[in-house]
Amino acid sequence: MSITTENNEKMITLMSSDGEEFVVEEAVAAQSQTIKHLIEDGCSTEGSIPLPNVTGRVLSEVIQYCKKHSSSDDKEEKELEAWDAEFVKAADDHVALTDLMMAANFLDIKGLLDLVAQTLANMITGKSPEEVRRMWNIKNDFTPEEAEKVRKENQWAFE
Amino acid sequence: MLMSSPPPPKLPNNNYYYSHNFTTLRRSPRLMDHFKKLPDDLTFIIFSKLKDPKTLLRCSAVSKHFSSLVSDSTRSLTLRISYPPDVPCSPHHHHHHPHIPLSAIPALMKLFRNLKHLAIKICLAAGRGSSSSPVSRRLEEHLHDGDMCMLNVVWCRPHIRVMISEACEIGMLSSSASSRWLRMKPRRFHPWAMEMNSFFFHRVYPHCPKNMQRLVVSGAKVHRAVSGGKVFMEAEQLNRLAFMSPRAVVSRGWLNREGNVVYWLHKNANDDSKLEKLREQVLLTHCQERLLRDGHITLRHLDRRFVTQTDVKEMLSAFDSDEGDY
Repeated sequence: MSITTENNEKMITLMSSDGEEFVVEEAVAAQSQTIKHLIEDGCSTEGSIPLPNVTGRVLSEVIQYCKKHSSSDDKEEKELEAWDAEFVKAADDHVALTDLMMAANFLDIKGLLDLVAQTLANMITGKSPEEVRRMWNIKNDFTPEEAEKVRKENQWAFE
Repeated sequence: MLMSSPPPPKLPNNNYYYSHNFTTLRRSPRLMDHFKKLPDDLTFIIFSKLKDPKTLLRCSAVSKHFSSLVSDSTRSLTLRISYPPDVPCSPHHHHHHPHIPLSAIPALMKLFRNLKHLAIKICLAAGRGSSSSPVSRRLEEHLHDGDMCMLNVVWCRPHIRVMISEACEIGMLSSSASSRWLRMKPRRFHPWAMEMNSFFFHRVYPHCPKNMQRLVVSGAKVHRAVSGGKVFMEAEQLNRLAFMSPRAVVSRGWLNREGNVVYWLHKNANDDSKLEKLREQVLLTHCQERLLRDGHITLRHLDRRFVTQTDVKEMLSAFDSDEGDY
């Protein structure tokens, strides 16, 4: 369904995986290349665009980002950078950031993907292998001998 | 939370445990999230954003899968090594960016098998309270503040080109008519800088992955500049400047004119201090190209060529990235 507001801005309805609906301006939604292509293919005319991979909680965050980035121009680069920093800080932990990154990847929003990837990269900088395993629940599949070899070869990195 | 349901008697592996508790977990979406896997394409992106070789190595020790992702995703890397190689830098300095021991190079190059661009930044240990070693003392003697040397090795198969750019500080340039030169010392490029760079080149080169495209080795003795900016000049340009009429004024306009200098690095990007006197650090610079034969840099100059602005900017960018803290 496409609604038009007073200032003639076309509105798009997005539906999250858990059925939550979000009505946003087309310019905001089109920050996502995935949605942009769906609109171009005429998918938005027959009701809301379903986004089966994104929950309402994550989608509202993504929309917040897209709104900010569609309304700012290049002159406000510094301000936008500060806003971005606050934005990822608000996402508070790696679990929320991983969700956000998956959504950014699926929706194809390059700026957001880069931002979150960099934040996660900063987050694991300096962490021990055990800490990284715990973050994403990764199983250590090295045998004790293999683990010892890796450590021995690169002793300096584990000190 | 997890403890509320008794764990199964035997735990063959983690996956079994989680699938067993799937129904309990489903009730809490937040908890469910914790067990969501990080997809490979995202891990790949995160790894390619990691700049720190230490963290990359630690990630490669997480699991076999992570190890192969680290190897595949790392295309460019910057390593900092101190010189002389076995003299550690001050702990404070080390804390900012870890230095790689020279002995770690073979293992590193084996892990980062997809590496295309490698930058080696040499950190001079001399003058950091560790000048007890004879090499340190000689460095101290021969290298001056502001000296920089960059070895730029480019693979254009079947050949390998080696570009050498050097710059050494020779004095200060002032715009006041009475004394154009505030300070001027006769200087030439000392082979020490080049020796230091090729020392690292020869230790890294044999271990380079097969798809390597570019290896940049750079070393500089940086000091906190007191002058306005940096003026890079070739020997001929310096000669011309020396023979200029004593009454001629070296102005901003003169420095900006093409041909007078190779490159003028302004200290302030915004030119609001137009009336302020110039006080620029002058660096003599040159570039030469050599060939690599049997893994050794040939002595014969392949080409004597003029230094371009791009050469200087490239050299400066090799030193700029960490706020001049070497």
